[in-house]
Amino acid sequence: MALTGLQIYKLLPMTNCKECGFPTCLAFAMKLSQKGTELDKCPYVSDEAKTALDAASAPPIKLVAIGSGDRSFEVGNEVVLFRHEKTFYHEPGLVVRVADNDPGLADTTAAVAAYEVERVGITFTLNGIAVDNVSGDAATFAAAVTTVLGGAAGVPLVLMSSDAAAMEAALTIAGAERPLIHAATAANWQAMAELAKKHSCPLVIRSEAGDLSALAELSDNVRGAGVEDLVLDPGTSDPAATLAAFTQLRRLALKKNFRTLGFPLIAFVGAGSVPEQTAAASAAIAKYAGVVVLDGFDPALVYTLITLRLNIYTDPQKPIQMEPKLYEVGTPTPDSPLFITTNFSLTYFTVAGEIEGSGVPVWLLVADADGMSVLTAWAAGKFDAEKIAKTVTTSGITDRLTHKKLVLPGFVAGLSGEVEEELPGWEIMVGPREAVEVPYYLKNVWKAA
Amino acid sequence: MLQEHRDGQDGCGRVGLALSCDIGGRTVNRLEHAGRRALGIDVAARSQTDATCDGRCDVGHNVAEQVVRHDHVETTRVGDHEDRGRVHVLVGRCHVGELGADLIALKLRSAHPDQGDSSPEACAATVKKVLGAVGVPLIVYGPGVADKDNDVLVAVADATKGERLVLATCEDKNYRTIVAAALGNGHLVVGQTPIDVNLAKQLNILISDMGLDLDRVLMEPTTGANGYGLEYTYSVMERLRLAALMGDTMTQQPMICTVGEESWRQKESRVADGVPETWGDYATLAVAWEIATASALLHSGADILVLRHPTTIAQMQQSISELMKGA
Repeated sequence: MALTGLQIYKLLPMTNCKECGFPTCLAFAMKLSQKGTELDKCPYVSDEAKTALDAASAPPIKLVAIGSGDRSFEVGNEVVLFRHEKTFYHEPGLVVRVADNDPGLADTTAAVAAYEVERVGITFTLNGIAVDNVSGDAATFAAAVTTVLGGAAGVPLVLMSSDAAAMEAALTIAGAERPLIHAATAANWQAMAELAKKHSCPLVIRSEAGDLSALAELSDNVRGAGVEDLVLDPGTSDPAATLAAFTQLRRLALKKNFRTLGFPLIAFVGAGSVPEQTAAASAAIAKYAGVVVLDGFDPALVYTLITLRLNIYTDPQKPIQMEPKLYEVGTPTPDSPLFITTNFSLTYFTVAGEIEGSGVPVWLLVADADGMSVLTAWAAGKFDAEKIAKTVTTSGITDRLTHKKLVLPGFVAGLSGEVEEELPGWEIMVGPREAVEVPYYLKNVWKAA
Repeated sequence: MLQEHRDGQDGCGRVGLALSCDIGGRTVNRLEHAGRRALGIDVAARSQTDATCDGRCDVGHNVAEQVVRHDHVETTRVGDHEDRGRVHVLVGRCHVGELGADLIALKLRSAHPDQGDSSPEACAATVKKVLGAVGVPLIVYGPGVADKDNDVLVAVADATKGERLVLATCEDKNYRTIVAAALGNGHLVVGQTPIDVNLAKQLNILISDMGLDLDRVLMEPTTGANGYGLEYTYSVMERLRLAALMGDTMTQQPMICTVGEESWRQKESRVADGVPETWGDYATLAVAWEIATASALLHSGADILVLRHPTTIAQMQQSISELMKGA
């Protein structure tokens, strides 16, 4: 359990030497309790204090790495139930399940490995492939793992089989890639724990029908056998039971500091239609999954979920902002149009994306509006005529244009009069409200103007 | 859940937890699945019988047409300009049950000054016509321009006294007029605030100060679609619900989200050509987008989802009944 500032203070030298950069030991302790600074800033802290603080600051949900190399991902280490309380830190991995006897295995593998999509300037990929020993046959499973390993080098794997012999065969092939083993159950945990330990792989422990007591017992057993990196599967099959189990597990870890079950969770969305999988996976992303296993590969489903995950895992304390400055979209010339918008990243990327799509180069001026969207910034007084005029005059754009026309976002059409007063000699034009209409605007309205 | 069409209606059911709210005087019975969340249909027939908005009904219209094209759902005479007047009725009589919506959200878009500016009387007549044709509760949205909302919703409220409609939406600017209309005619209101816990609470206080019972108020915290501000709505709703569960009576009103309208407004749902191949099949993506938005907001506390696509409605009905199992 995290210590309070006062508890930490008692462990510090209490000399107020200021060498940590804080005026007093108490101030330093308070900052530590908010995780705003590091203990090693104090040169005089005792070893006992260090041990005590380390133990207390160990994350309530263990950070577990899956896969090896560039595409490996980490899940866990979450500290809140609701994102507004702080933020969610480690995005759940999106994994595509394939059956080991699926004739389309190689194709799906290639598609998953190659999948790449861009959103708000960031490139996203799928996080892994789960090979499921549906055949029940060890040789088929091993062959499938070989195929996947060959077709998706570097993509993290989840190996799914309840048969320890099949798992051993698969790990002989892929054990060095740090796959996630699914799963140790009450029936096979000794053998699975041994395999996980031998290959240093993270291990899923699975109980039946949301039985958390059984899960806790399994956790004690496999950790007793020397496996520390666990992922939990409460074995629920319907949405209500899954939500209940996941919520309870998160609460136990965070509110009760129950280390036995302080591990990330794995959710299976089931072999349903895309709508069914969308609903189940959306719930899993919002409510506490660390790994989400989709059934089969559908780019529409994947892109939808990557977007949702990005939303839920955005830090609510700091909106993603763009640097306020003049951006060149395409290769604008002195007679290219000049647009202005705000520095909310989504606003920028939406507008820039549409301009790019239109093929018409544009000077895109981004005003400092505290990272708010156009309408929000306008309502908050961060994007008014004065700010717009100042942004234009300080940007140096005037010298680079042969015209004096400024295109405002349609949502602040009402400001055009005021902006005209603030920017004498400029013609203020009103652009579309929605970015999606920008190409039409550029090709028709701007051209005509 | 509701499905939306432009001049559609949403349905509402009883809301889970301690936060219940009945809508629709005549039809309350069918909504009393205790603890059930409601799905509304947004019927995209945009306008009244006057055909003034031809060609201007871009978004909603496209949506309706797409709905038809992709799913071959009959609902969709909606796309037919000539038959606009018939649309709601058609939707109402024949398809509400089939679509599985609990309520209908009817948006009086033709009253928008730029989209026909139809008169309050014409709007009231349309609402009465829809009421006559459907057996589920009705949420009536004004055109979304505060002044015109006032005129239209007051006329509708007067013409439908005792029907226990939901009048949507009132904001801090115009709540007095609409709340008065609800008070005088036995209706409910939706209070809309811009993604802010305190403003939502404050509007509830203002509305309740006028004497409207708090079980006749719904909150619309302003809906953001997946990828377009969903996280703000999501967190404000979680905070409102947590405050409600802590006993704050001014945050205990059911929350309604206009998922369909927001989701189908976004590029992912509107543009099929010239988008990255990695977005996948357009029809699949557009529906998944709406489902993801609806699912996330459901988990953050939504009580009424106003939806647009029949597949989304079916999916959310399924999700909700699964989640409420044993409740």
